[in-house]
Parts: sequence; C-alpha cells; structure tokens
Amino acid sequence: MTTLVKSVRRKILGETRMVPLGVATTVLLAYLARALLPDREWQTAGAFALAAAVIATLISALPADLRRPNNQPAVNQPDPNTTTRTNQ
Amino acid sequence: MTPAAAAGASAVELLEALAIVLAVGVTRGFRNALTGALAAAIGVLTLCLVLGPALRAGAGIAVLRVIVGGALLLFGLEWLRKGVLRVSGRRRRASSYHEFVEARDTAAALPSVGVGRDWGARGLAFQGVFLESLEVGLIVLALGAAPGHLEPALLGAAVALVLVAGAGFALREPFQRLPETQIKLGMGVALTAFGTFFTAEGLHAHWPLSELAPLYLAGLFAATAWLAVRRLERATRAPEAT
Repeated sequence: MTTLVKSVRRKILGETRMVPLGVATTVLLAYLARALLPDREWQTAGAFALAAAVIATLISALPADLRRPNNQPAVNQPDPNTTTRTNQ
Repeated sequence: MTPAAAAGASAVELLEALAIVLAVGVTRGFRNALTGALAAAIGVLTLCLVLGPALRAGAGIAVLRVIVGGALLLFGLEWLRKGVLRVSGRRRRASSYHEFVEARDTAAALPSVGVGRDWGARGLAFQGVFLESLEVGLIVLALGAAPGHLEPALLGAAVALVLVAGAGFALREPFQRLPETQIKLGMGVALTAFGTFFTAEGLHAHWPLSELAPLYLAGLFAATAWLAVRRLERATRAPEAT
C-alpha cells in the first residue's frame, strides 16, 4: 500500500521537486504581479511573463550542466535532478 | 487541439498499461490480468467522477482555469523534462516493450497466492493499470475541466482507448518500433502549452491571437526543448572528445 501511495505521488508530482515547486512559485508570483501591476500592463505582459517563468522552471528541472557557462559537464557530482530510475 | 492532446497523452500512457496487462496475462493467465485491470479502471473512473464535478462546482471559472493550468503544467513539464533527458541520451528511452518484459519477469517471479484465484497477479495488474490510467484520468479531467473542452477531451481519450485496446487484442504484444520517446516529448510540449494558456487566461492576462496561442506556445516550448537537448548532448560529448 505504501508503495502504491509513493507511486501515485510520483505520478502526480513527478520525480523531482523542481517541477511542482516551480509551478507553485510561477502561479503565486503571477497572482502577486497581477495585484501589484496596473491592469493594462498585466494584461499586455502577464501572459509572456508566465511563459518565461514556465521555461525557467523547465530549465531549472534539467541537469545543472545545461546552465553552466561553456556548457561543461559536472565532474564527480551526481545531479539531484536526474535519476536513473525506469522509463515510466 | 484538445482532442489530439487528450488522445496522444492517453494513448502513450495506455500503451504502458496494456504492456503490464499483457505481461501478467501471458505469465499468469488473462483472466487474472483482466480482473486486476478492470478493478483499476473502475477505481480511476470513480475517482474522476467524484473529482470532476466537485472541481467544477467548487471553483469559479477563473480559479478553475488556474487549477486546470497548474495541473497541466505539472504533467506537461515532467513529460518535457523526461523527454529532453531521453532524447539527449541521459535517460533510458521510453518503451512499452521494455515495460512488458520487466512486468513479465516480475509476474513470473511472483508466488501464487490464493486457491483458484491468483491474487498476486491480480494485484500486479491492478497496481500497474491504476498508476498508468490515473495519469490518463487526471490529464483528461484537467483538459476537460476548461469550459467547452469536456467533450473533445473525452472523445480524444475514447479514441485512444479503442486504438490501444484494439492493437493489444490484435498483436498480443506491445509495439517495439513505436517512437514513444518522441511522442511523449511532443505530448509534454502540448500539455505545457495548454497549461500556460489556461493559467494566464485564469489570471486575466491576454494572449495575442487569442485561441491560437497554444499553437505558438507549443512552438516556443518545442524550440526550448530542442535547444536543451542540443546543449545536453554537447555536454555529454565534451569529456569523450578530450
């Protein structure tokens, strides 16, 4: 039963914490920006800011060597975002 | 675009469920496999029938769009992340056939529990099908919860179910040559595009070209994924070259 619950959680929230954290942060920041910005500016720029935040979430959930200058791989450092689990 | 996204996402997940049912069926008998699968399908359907109306009744249209968008972003970004890792060679490629072989070995190693009724095999089929179809149920629920999208989402999922069940009945084995990795990456792009679109709509932000926005958003996310794959491939090759 515990295995099933763990598997369900993994199915819904994914294998890394970065995706659910990133989505939650994106939505919260969007609500905050909407409250702080004038309506017209939010309506014009809000959608693109949201798309940019989604891309930032994706990049932060990928291995760290993607973001390093000169694109160098991490040496002797396991990436917490990458698991060697199965292909679900 | 909603029926296509629902059909595509449902089909790839149902293929994995089919692989587990076939593996249990081949090793422990189809009666046990189908009993477990049917119980799982009823469980997921009941969950969706409870969650769907509760979601629609309990939230205003704007909040509902943000909830739907957030749920689609959760699934879409995870599929996109895994897709980028698979295409760049950082993770094993998606394959229902591998899933079939693994489930077949697990089923073969299971001890028989119960006289006449193989509860071990039924449990294995139940767990596999429940997990795969739960994802299908939640994605269809999220896609269908947006106003006017319920029928297209259900139609897409129904087409996927008929196609996958038909293929399983005809072939009695999962496809080996289906480009599942690329299909899943594409579905990740589509779900992320829909998720971003609905979340912004729920927050009253305006998209240029309105209803066509998911199309250019899909292009944007596909380009990002492609660039990420290229950079990861280059980083993987760099130590080999030195």
